[in-house]
Amino acid sequence: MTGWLFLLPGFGIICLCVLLPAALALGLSFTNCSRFLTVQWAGLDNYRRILTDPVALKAVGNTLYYLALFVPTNLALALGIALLLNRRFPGIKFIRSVYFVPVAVSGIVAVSIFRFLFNYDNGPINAVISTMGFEPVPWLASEGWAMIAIVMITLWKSTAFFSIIFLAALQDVPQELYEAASVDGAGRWAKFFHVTAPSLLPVIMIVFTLSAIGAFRIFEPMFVLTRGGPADSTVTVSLLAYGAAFSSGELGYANAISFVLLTVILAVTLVLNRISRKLEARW
Amino acid sequence: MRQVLILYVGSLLLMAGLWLMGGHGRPLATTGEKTIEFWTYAGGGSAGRSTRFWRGLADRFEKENPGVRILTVTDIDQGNYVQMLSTRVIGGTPPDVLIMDDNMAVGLNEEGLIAPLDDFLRRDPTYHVEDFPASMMRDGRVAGTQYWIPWYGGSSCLMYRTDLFEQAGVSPPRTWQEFLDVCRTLQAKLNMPHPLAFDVEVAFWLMPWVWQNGGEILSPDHRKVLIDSPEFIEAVQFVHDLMYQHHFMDSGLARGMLVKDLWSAGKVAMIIGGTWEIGMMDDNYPQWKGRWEVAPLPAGRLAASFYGGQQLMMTRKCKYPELAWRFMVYATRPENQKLWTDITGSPPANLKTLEMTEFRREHAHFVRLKQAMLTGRNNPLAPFFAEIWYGRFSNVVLHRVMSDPNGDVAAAVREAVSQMQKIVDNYWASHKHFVQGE
Amino acid sequence: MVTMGKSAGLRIKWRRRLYRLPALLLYGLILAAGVVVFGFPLFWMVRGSLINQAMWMKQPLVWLPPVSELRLDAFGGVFQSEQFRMGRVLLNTAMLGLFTMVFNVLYNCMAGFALSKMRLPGKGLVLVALLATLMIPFEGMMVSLYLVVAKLGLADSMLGILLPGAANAFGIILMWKFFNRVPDDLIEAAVLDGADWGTILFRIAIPVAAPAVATIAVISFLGGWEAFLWPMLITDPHSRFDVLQKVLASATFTSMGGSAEVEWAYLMATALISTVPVLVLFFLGQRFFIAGLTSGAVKG
Repeated sequence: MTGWLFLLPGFGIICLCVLLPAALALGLSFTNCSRFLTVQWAGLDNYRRILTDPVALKAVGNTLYYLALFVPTNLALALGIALLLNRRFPGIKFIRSVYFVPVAVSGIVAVSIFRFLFNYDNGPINAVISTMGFEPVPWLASEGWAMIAIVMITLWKSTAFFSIIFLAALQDVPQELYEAASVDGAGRWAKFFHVTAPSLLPVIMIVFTLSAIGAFRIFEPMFVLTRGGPADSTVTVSLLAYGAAFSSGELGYANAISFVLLTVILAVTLVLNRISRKLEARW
Repeated sequence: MRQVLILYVGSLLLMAGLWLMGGHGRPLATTGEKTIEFWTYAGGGSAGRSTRFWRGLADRFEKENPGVRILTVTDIDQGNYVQMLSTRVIGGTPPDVLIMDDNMAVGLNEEGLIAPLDDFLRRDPTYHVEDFPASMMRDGRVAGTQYWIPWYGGSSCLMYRTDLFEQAGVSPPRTWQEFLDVCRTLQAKLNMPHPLAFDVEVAFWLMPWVWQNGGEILSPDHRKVLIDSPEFIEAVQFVHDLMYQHHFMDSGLARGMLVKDLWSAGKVAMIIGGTWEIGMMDDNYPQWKGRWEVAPLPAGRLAASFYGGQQLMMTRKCKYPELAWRFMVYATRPENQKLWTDITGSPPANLKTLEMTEFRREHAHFVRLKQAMLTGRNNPLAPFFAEIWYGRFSNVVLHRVMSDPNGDVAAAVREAVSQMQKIVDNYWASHKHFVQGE
Repeated sequence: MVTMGKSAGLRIKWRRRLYRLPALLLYGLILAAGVVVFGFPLFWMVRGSLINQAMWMKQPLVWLPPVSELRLDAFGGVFQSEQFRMGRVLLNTAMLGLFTMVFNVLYNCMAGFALSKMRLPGKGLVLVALLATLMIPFEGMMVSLYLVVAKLGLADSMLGILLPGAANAFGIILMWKFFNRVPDDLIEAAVLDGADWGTILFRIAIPVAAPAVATIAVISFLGGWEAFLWPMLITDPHSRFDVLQKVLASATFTSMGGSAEVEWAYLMATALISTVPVLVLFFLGQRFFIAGLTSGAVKG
């Protein structure tokens, strides 16, 4: 029984703070629950609403748009940066630390600073764009560009983080494999495709999965910067749930949205896991 | 095992210690103290000033009422206000006295958060309903029961350059016809291609024109969209003509050009603004200090302007309602309302304040617009209003028609009506009868 | 083998280097671009915290203000400021980080050890529950978590902020995996020697799994230090339990509300105060960072 004694505090907190709320969320998702916690059974109404409410559909669309922009770019850039940093020359350690800055900077700080950078009138980004001869972009005030600006901000933070993981993985690749490839006459590109990539495959899949999950959940930048605007172009599923709970006071609907999100993440993770295993088996 | 048990107990003690640090969603009051928690948000322009005012007021109230503590929460930004309020409501500990923008508060009032004030009004001889503008008072009623009392209201008004008007030999117009004449004269005499400016893309500024022509947005019971009336269409056409027929306004205004930039650069002689901007005018545009003035909006078939703002209210869960009511009455006293204007530059709601000699001397601009306070009105206070007016109507009519010299106002309006009506019908299908402002 | 004269060999080496010059240049350019892009916000924070409000507003932007214009006012000012309250806020954030770390290390180790080495009826279920927990997005559950914590009377309190983060499924699973690598015979020997579970955990298992413990310590400290969403949700506006990220976000919100009521230098100083410890921790604990990220992510 001492086993459970050891387990209790840690697992107890998890039960209280994760599993219980999850169960509560599931329960509430089948009700109409107001701010005053007056509960009324609603069956599948909330779930049906997610499929028909235009704002909900827009949120789903925006989240998928974000996903499509973010995940592949993140993967490519993180890998690219890791390859870039995987050299040995004096000063590389310093450069690597600079590349680490986005990881050290918190999400809020990043968002705050980038708000300046994206400022239409006097932000440096538009200043650079103007000197290059293009029209300054209204970034966060524009329906078309707001999400793209946010993707840029999250990429800034994310690629640095994942490049560290790739870098560590790259350095784990045994030198002998490269040497063997050299003996076989492989050039730089061949080495990449036949040695590096296969060795990195598990890491690539993990980075892919983690960034996909992160993309589904994305909340902070929209919350601090745009609040879903302009014109609902940056409303994501998480933001929708938050708004439904705390702005409209529809806790049942909010929890239904959260549960759908949870299910999607679960499904995507399982699918990616299976794909990952199959790929590993083949290579 | 000893170490494990020590660590176990130690961590529990640590948690207990943290618990004792306090908090728990309610201010810790020393025994015997009655606390009132008061919330307002930092609305555009003067967060620090608002804090200064409310804290000062609360301190004075505490001094006059020993054993009472007023906790003032004044720096929540407007965007987050409803959500922070919601979290407290969900947690079961809402604040006691609130200030909210009238549009913000409708939904919460409908849900039953706000306490009715009829009893207090009946029993308290020191609060005089007639001291406050009737339209703001009416805004705070539902089915005849008073829930809110006015805190401050802003009205839309004309703002013009006194030096330029003098140069052109005109005075502020009082009717639509005079308005057109004045604009024409300004164009000619000042060699100013576009002497007028206001944000034509923002539906808010359209409302006074519509009302002055006798048009309406919603029926009084908030169930029918009435924008396809000839009066409404005529009013929107009038505004369209100001830009594209008479060329009194720069058409760039329909495409992102900002009124404040034009005013700042001295490119316009007259703009439509609101009394809530008066306090910041000299700070924002020091170059025009002493060279600008306000005037009521010109009248169409009738005189009408926008008038609405922040309302004071009490929540039902308030532990000391009598005390809360006294605080609310204290805040709205004429001398405290004057202090409000002194510190934040926002207009007062108490009409008695406008009669104080010092006020008349120091804040003449607001006195000039007293009439607007008496004849002004608010937009329909319905939870779906923002969606239909700033959503559907703006998208379908304003964004399309205002940037098009040949825009067909009538057609756009007719298209918007059905979309707006659908939203209204949807709302009423799932809500019981509740009309703010009856 | 063809032998080459030394000078001939050198010449060939340099020629090869010359051919690679354009590629090297490109490499250098991209690397430099990266340095600018990634390092710029750090520069912006430092510059911003050292200049006054007037210099902030100056058009056109003065990238490198003259040394005479630099001042350290902001770093003192944030302690006095009603908006930033750095003294209290810093204390709260440090406490949150420290206690999150302490609880995490303690509870995760104990739980992981129990799952790995001790007899536990229902172990399978617990593991499944923990794995499921990893999938649950915080953003999704925060509404109901708020309900739970508020109803427990922990709204706007240090304990309320701390509790949900005091144990972590990821941490428990990490410790479980590391403890699995501790050879069972070592444990059995200790049991035969009459040692109790506590001793086994602390004298034997943890030393073996030290890297994982260090990783959890670092990651949980950072989690507490950088926490935003949960503290913001659970605390009152202008709470005396505010943390750094919440104050930063509030200041950002205020600045977006149209009023120029924010001292930008104070905002940047706060941002630096929030960033520098993380940078320092990274330099000191680089190994644990990377080990934690990779072991948790990859070998997981």
